[in-house]
Amino acid sequence: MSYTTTEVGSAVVVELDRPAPIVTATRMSPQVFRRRFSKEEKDAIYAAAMTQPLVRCYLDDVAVAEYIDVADAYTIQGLNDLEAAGLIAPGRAAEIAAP
Amino acid sequence: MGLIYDSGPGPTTSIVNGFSAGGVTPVVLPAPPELNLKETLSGAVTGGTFVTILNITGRGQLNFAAVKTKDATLRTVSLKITIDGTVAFNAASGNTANSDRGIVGVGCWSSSTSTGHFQPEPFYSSLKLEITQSLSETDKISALYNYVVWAS
Repeated sequence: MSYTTTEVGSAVVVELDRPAPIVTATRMSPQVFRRRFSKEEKDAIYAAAMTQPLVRCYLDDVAVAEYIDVADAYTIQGLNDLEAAGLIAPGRAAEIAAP
Repeated sequence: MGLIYDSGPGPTTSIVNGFSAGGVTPVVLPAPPELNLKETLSGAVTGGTFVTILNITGRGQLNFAAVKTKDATLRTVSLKITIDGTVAFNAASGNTANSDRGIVGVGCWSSSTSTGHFQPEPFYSSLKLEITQSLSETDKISALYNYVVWAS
């Protein structure tokens, strides 16, 4: 194990020299994730959920999630499905999934 | 960012919180730089043997301390915090098979709202943070922490 020793005033700080790589934050609360959709998009998605069980399921999954990870394959697939169904405009899936 | 409370003149000799009894199922923890935390990997860990992450001789304040997993292998994680020579927190988690899950010794974090709070714990002569896990592996757990050192 390699440690870094730093003297700060009269204090001595000895710290394990294994900094974790900083990753781009891709997780957010469901509330923050939902705010990435426009009012028009929400209107279209909720209207579709009245008749399309998979859209309703997607909304429920978001609602009960502890957090949303926009880099997660399930999240990306869901956004792509919304885009393919015409509920969000082409290109919006990538915009919404941006970190 | 708010504070849970000011812990008073200290030094703290015992931290009792939602995880201190041990065996609690790990929760989702922040991914630095969230909550302005520093994250240090464990290096090589022999299961059940603590690795020292931080050892300060001097005065300062610990604001947040936690241990979390870095991959999705079934394990428990443990955190020990020694303030001025007294073990104030020493707890192991319950099992988890998820990444980024762990337990918090100082501070708090809500994954549902992505918000957290610092819990200032002063130390007047020394501070030591140690972590371990149930498996023998390298860099599969990490410590999350924030501290300040006082001039004298």
